[in-house]
Amino acid sequence: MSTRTFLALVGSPRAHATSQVFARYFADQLAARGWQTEVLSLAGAIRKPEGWPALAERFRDADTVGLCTPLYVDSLPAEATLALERLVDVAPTRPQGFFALVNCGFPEAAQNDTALAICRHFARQAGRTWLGGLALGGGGALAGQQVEKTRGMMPHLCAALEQAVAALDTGEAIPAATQALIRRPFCPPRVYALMADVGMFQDAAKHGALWRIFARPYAAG
Amino acid sequence: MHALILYDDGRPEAALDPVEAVLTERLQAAGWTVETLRTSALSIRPCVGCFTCWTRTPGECGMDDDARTYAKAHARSQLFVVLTPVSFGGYSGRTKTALDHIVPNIFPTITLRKGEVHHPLRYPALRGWLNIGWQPVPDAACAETFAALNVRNGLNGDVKLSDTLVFTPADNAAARTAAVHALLQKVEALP
Ligand SMILES: Cc1cc2nc3c(=O)[nH]c(=O)nc-3n(C[C@H](O)[C@H](O)[C@H](O)COP(=O)(O)O)c2cc1C
Repeated sequence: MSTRTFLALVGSPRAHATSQVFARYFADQLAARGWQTEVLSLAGAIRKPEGWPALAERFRDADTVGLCTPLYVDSLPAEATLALERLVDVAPTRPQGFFALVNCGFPEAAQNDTALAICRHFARQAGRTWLGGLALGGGGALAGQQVEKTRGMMPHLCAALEQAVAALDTGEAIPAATQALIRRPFCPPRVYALMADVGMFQDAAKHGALWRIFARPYAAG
Repeated sequence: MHALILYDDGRPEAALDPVEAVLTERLQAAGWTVETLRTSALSIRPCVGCFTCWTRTPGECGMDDDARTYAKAHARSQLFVVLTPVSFGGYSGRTKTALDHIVPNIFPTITLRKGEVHHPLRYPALRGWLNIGWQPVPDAACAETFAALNVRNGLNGDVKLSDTLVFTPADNAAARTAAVHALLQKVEALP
């Protein structure tokens, strides 16, 4: 049997993105199971067109593709969307599976559902088999840490990702129970909101902008 | 009352041109001032997710381009209408390049809305956010997601009226005009 190939696509425009951590995780875990893997950034290929042919080629030839992306305005970031609008016309050279992991800033995983639907429609229109969608709330809490380091705070996240990898390795879709497990909130929304607020105020203070945080530069009149 | 139309006019078929014309005419007749931002005329770099607009220059994107033009126009509008090709049930990439820059217009702090976590708004809430989508090939599942997206955006924006139309080549000019009129009647009926 020839080596199976996995392509992880990163939908975040940020350099140290949570999405990048997940993309790396899937790639590393499948590589440990004998897959040939690669992680590529959609924003990178949009910004530097010379990277586009390699991305399109990998997307054409992979056995399985996983898109790891943040939620932007209840859907996918602009550059991820621009890239998918081009990739939809790249026909696969073999039957290909496609799954997505969407993480958002708000703690409720359900806020990612429209974006996951968009990923599912993309897979269908691109002629790929939908392998399932993983919705993670409060993605900012990972703060770029490796998945393994979050086991204490988010045990269900690690368990769900391990189950997802096991399914993908056997060519199966991510089980519904796994998709449900990752959605479990890791702390009450109010606690998460408080943590997020504190972090944001600290950041604003660091940049000397604390007293302007409620500015309204575009107020009429 | 000010209405902002964000129009992705970049596709060759320009199918939404007549819709935009009817929309503008009808809104002006009802007393709205109408501002139209066409994506073909905007120079906007996509959001890079740096949150400068929250923690360094609160309320303003760190990149000085038409992202600011869009955010400013959005902040001063009571009605927002998006005319866009539907991409997989979402906005087109060109539309999204502008729309992601809505983030400066919300505060970084947290509020609860319908039991969900959201951000308070930096400016008064829109009365209406309307999405008018174009599908060169009809796709009911994508149209459904596009409408759901409009509802989600409405909740995030604390908008009174959220509504969606999706046109396909099967809708003739009369049908499109009638649908736009019916949609604007809902706007006019707002308290
Ligand atoms: C332009 C923009 C729009 C966003 N829109 C949403 C949103 O609608 N809902 C939400 O929960 N989080 C939203 N977020 C927060 C991101 O989804 C969150 O910070 C995520 O963890 C970033 O993931 P990344 O590190 O992979 O980029 C938005 C962030 C940005 C920059």
